[in-house]
Amino acid sequence: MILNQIAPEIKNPYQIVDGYFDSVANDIFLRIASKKVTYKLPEEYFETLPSQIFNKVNKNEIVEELEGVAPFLNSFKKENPYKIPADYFTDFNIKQVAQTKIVSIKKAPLKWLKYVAAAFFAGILVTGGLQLYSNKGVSKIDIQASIQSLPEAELLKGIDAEKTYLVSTDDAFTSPLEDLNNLQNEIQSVSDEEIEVYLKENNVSNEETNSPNS
Amino acid sequence: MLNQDDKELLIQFKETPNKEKAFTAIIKKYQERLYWHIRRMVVEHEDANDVLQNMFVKVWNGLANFREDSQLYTWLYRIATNESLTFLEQQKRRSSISIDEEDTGLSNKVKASEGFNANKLEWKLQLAIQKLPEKQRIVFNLRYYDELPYEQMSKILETSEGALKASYHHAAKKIEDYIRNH
Repeated sequence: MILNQIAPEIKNPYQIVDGYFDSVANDIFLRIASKKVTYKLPEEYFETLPSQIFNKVNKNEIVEELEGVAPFLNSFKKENPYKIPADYFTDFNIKQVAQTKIVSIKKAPLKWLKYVAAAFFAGILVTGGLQLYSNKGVSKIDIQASIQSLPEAELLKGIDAEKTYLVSTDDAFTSPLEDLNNLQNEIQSVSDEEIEVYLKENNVSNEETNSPNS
Repeated sequence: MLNQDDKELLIQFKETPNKEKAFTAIIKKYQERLYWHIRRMVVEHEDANDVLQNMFVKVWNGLANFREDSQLYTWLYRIATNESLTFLEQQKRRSSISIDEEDTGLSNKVKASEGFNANKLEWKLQLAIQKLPEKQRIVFNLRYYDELPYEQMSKILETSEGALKASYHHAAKKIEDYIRNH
């Protein structure tokens, strides 16, 4: 009553934009539609869902299985304590793979060649010693014993192992000529210290190469 | 059956212009899993790297003939396992290690690893694994770390699922005993 007396012409003081009621239904639909867009799925979610579920089931099976056999192992974190060089997996690429054949053959330690080289030098020492002392009239060296003291079985084993390795590296093989070249290179690369160590290890000592009576 | 991703990669591999690209994608996809599988067997990084590279060379040579009736990763695991075993065999022959001494050699390599700490459980676990016979070691690693189902392991190792299960259970018990007593 009082309001009517104060301002009889204004029943509703609020104002709305023109055509509000014409567009309100549309606006509501637009908002519903926009809400749909706000939910995002990881890429290929549905494609990978079955395998994710399978992995989870498999994981549970593994835990349950271990629980019945060695439950203590379930309490471990399955972390690798081993270290790898930084960026190893980023840097590992096909070029590295393509070079492998060459690298692996070069890197393969031609151990048997070292044995052969060492035996070769041992032979020289034995023969040289024999020559020297026979000239001096000192009693001769027991060549047979010296040769027998060389680990022949190990030599053969080394040769067998190396053969298998070269065969197992696919197309990689070496010709006898290449072997000879390798042997020559290898002989040159064997130091005096290595030969001495080899001779000591195999009891081909200086005493043996000298006269047993000296 | 081959999964879709691998199927597409194999199709690309067979097309000459995309061969290297497809092969690189295969390497990127599987290198990490295969590396760790190999590393757990040979222990040292340099050896694992050599074996991984050699195995991928074999994959490159044989991929065109890969029969698509099994998963690609099963086939890759099989090559990785065989390469690792061959490597270990060669190493044994080179150093004239007897079967009894084999675990000592690998245990020593574990002990020489960077960051090794004999008091930490994760290292004890590694030492316990190296004490296992070769076959059990592979079975344990494939099941425990790679979490492969017995069905896949059976294809990789060409052994029955029952035998693999028995082998894994023996291995797990031995490892638990070792850790509790050390």
